[in-house]
Amino acid sequence: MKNVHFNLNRPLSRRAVLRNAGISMGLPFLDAMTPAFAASASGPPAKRFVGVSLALGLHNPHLIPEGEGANYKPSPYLESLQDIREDFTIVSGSSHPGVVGGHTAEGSIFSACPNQRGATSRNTISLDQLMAKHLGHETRFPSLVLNTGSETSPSYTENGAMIPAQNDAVKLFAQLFVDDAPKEQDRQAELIRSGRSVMDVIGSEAKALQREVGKGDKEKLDAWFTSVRELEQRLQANEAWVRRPKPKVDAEAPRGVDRNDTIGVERAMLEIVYLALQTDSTRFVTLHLPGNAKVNGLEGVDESYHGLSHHGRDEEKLEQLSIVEQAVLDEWGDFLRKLKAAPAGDHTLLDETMVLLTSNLGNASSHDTKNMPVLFGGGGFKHGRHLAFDRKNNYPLPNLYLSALHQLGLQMETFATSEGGMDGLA
Amino acid sequence: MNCFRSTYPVSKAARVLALAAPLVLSAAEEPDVRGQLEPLLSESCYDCHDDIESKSDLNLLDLEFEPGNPANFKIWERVFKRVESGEMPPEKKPRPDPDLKSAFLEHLESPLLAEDRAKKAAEGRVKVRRLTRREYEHTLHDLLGIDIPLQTVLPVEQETHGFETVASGQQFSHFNLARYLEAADLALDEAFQRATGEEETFSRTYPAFKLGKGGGGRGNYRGPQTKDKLSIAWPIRLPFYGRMPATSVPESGRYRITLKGVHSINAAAGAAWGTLSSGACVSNDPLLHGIGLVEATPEKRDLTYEAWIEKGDMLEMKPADATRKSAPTGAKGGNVGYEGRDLVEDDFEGIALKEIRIERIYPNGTVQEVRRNLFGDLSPEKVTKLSNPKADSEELLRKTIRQFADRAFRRPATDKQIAPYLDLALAETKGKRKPPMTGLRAAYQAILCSPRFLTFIEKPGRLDDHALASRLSYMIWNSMPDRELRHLADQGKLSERKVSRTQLDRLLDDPKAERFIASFTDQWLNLAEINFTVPDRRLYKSFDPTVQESMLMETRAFVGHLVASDGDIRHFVKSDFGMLNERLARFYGLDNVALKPGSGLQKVSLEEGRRSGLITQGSVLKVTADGTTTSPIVRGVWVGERILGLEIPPPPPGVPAVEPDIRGAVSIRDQIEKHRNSENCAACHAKIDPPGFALETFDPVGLPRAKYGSSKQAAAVDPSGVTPEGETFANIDEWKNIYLQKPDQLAEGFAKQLLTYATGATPTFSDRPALANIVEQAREKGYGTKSMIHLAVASEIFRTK
Repeated sequence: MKNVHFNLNRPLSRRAVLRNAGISMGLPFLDAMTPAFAASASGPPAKRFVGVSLALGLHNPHLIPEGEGANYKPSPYLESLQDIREDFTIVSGSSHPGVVGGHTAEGSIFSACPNQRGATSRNTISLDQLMAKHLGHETRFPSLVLNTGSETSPSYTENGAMIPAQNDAVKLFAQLFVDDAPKEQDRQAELIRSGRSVMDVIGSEAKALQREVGKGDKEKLDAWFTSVRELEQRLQANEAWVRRPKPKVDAEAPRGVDRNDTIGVERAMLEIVYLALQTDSTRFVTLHLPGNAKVNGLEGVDESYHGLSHHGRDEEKLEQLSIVEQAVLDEWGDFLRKLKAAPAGDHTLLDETMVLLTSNLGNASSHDTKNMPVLFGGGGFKHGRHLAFDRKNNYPLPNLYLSALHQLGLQMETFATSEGGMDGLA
Repeated sequence: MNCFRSTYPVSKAARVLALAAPLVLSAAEEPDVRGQLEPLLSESCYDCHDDIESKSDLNLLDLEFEPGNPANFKIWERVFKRVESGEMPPEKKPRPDPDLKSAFLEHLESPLLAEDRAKKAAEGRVKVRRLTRREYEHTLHDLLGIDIPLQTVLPVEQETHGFETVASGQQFSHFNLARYLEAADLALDEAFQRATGEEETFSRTYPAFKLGKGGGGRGNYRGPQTKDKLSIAWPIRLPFYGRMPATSVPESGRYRITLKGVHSINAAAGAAWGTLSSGACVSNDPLLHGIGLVEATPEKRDLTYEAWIEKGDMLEMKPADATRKSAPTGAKGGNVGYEGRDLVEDDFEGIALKEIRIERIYPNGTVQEVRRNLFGDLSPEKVTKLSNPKADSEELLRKTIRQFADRAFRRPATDKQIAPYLDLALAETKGKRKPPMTGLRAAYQAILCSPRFLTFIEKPGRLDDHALASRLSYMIWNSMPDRELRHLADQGKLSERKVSRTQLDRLLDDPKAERFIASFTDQWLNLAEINFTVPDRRLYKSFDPTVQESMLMETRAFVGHLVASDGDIRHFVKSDFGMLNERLARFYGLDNVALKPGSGLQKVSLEEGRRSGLITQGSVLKVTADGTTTSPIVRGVWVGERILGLEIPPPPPGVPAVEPDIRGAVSIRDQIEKHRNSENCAACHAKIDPPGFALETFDPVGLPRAKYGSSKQAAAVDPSGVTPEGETFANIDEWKNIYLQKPDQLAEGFAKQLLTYATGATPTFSDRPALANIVEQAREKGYGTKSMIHLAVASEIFRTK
């Protein structure tokens, strides 16, 4: 009976899904912009970023280790990651300044945009999208925005619009690695062609309309105009890609993944992300595990994940919650191991890839946004430490994001509310 | 707040003196507002809000008065409201002198009003609102006469101030635009196909023997039992139990489904409840789409449903009542078998039916209508000409595109406006040996991606007739104006009071007004969140999907009834009736209400009971809880913002959230009480907590409780409290009685919700007089819900951009 969904939305026609895939996901971004600061001669230490975000946090007492620096004593959750201890850093006592609001803070996970209600209603660009904007044009997909269940994402455009997430592992695999039939390629090409001429008309319409309306509307119509231009660019770039064969991988499309088994979906998605990085199909990825995620298939768990996150300190609930959270973490760990095993030039794929795990909630039971869980691996940093900041007066996490940008060779001075690069990260 | 006057520390007294002196001199010319505000500020505010204390990050001592700066305006607006309502200075501080206070408010109000009015006159309150995806789908269905789902092609909407219609929070990016391109392509494919091709028809009846088996037990069998020419579904809890592969539909489409001769078997009391869904019903495509509830009584009845079903999907019908004992599967593995047992004899509650009929339907338009929508009044010969690549078609295209743009843009399209679309159509066909139809389709696709279609074009000041027609039509129908509204707008008559009154009544009387009830109610009360958490099955054994769906239906029907009957809005708080079905009445434990099983939702009288009113309905209690625990704060904020019209600011940064502890005797109330003792928190929590405390009487699924949990040590619920105005109440009933006496407050709150939803922006500071006017007239009309909709629509707020 758990499977009955009385959602108001009627099912999406499968035809619509297929077509949709063609235009919104399969569009690489050929931005004319080049990085403001060219990479140094030896090349930037990192090339890629993967951000895994959780809507429901991680139970802090089980996560935060004792002691700090390199000699920290692993917490229960970190026990299973000890073989890759030197490949990631755990950060405690940090969060995004001015970000409040419990679940509504999800939009700020990667943008770190302060969201005091009333003060600002518009989000700012998320870390992954900022990276993709400057560096995403070299791959078929400038970025991948993924979700294990729903369509929401913490990835936002410069205009502050949320990028709808791909939540179907099978379709994701097809988009990345399965060539469309010639007939479908023709149709895609036609859609792109007609789309471009439509954009021509709409662009001048938005301009004409700006002259007709009041000054208050002009700014919003600017966003229209920008969107038209950006879509034009993407359609143009896609014309080049549409007939180019997709990379072949030695893996089968995921089959029979139960959508209600979030851990299984997380595993399938991360496997595809690994393949996407390996084939250089994309370099910037976010994967979100939403708050209504179902965790069927986990031994010893018979309640909803969200319900468990509101454990109210009840021991039985905490026990079940730990099973879920450990499984989530272990999949993240496996992903790191896989990247570490993949050679890339003189080093490994992990050396070139920054992998983050975080959440908008430090304490899901009370919807507290302070003390966000943070695990950060790879990317050529020196790891193996516990960076312990003040749990009462949090350290700004956007500093880590700024360091991540610098590691890609993007020498921004600030990101969101950052105050400088991350202390203790080198 | 960043406008410090001096970087040197100055004593408070010196600052006050320095300000007071020039005030006297210049008062005759340009009023020095900042100086006029000084007396009250220095008497009542600076103690906490100066450069040293800066409580809640507010330093009034150094705050300039610059209403032209939006951030500065916001702060002074908030100061005004909190002083006016008496929230500030807080209770524990001395009351300000009444004369000082009224002078302060007067001095502050007029410049704020002037500023806000000037801004509205220049820019309007609402900036480029676009169609929500719900509105988009209805609009394309009405514009083209098609039925295909389009909402799900578009990105999910985000809500702001509770509503997805609020323009300031609406997302727009190239991702949206790519989806619009796609959705338009899909919709036009469907429309052109229907207008020019063969209509797909389908109509079949499936007798019981085709729907299930008498025995089963192998081959992954999970269907119903066929017995005595009946198809019977039993309470077997296995995924996809009740699936009927024979019912798989040949094409995606909208279907009418009739379950014939439905009746209950062994129904303990009242009715047997089940769910009807569609889906692929296999484990690697497990999503089921709810079609409706099945209420079976001992008498045989035919039940009819309408739903969109995807190609290849089948129907699944099964009992769904968590309070009934479940039956064994009767076979090994994931199989169901009926051999060798008698489930009737074993007293399981089943749902039987005689046969199922499935027919393809096209509720939004016949082929003739689709043709007229695409080709206007072109004769069949001319439509044929559109398919001829050699035809000289410029005039034909111009005429057809104009007709279409005229409707899509919801106002007369000028030559200049249609020129780019005509050019596009010609470019698509000229010299390419393609028929004009191809060009027409390209032009339509562009029109459907135009900001003139996707957004509401409104100019600052009073809305013109066409903008008014759209506002009315989207408010009540979530779709474009129909012919009659459009005609009145073309004639310039719609803005006449009498005409718009009559039109509003007509819109509300139309079946399409259901859309208003559902979309407004769901957003206003946040009902979409009802799926967000799944209650703990160990603790809430009687809750199930049937109950949840019934709760949603109850609340929508309740609001719908109040609108239709012009019922008093005080019913939101307390009422003498409810809209229940048999399952919900049983869930609530209202065994003695007069209710006819088999009649679905029905109006029943609830004389004395905690169930009466909107705020104690299950849907509301469920969305304000998290599935496991309740939070008086979450519920208090919900009631405050959505029912009482309060503005509740978010907690200041750095305040630790209250973490629920369900282990022992420490109730969440105790924790909140501690929190409230902190002076920083007291002022807001005096507003938030009272209704939250009163509602603690209800658990996360909306059932009454006296204790937190069932253990002996469990803390008792204490639903008593004190309103911000100082009235005490012992429980939710008394709380309701207090607010029954405050209809003006309820009316203002409701008017704000209606206007935010309908216009796409919250009322601003200078809308206060118009709101007060609505409240005054509502009082004269007995606070009728429908009357209030009329008053909102007649107000300046509705009629200006």
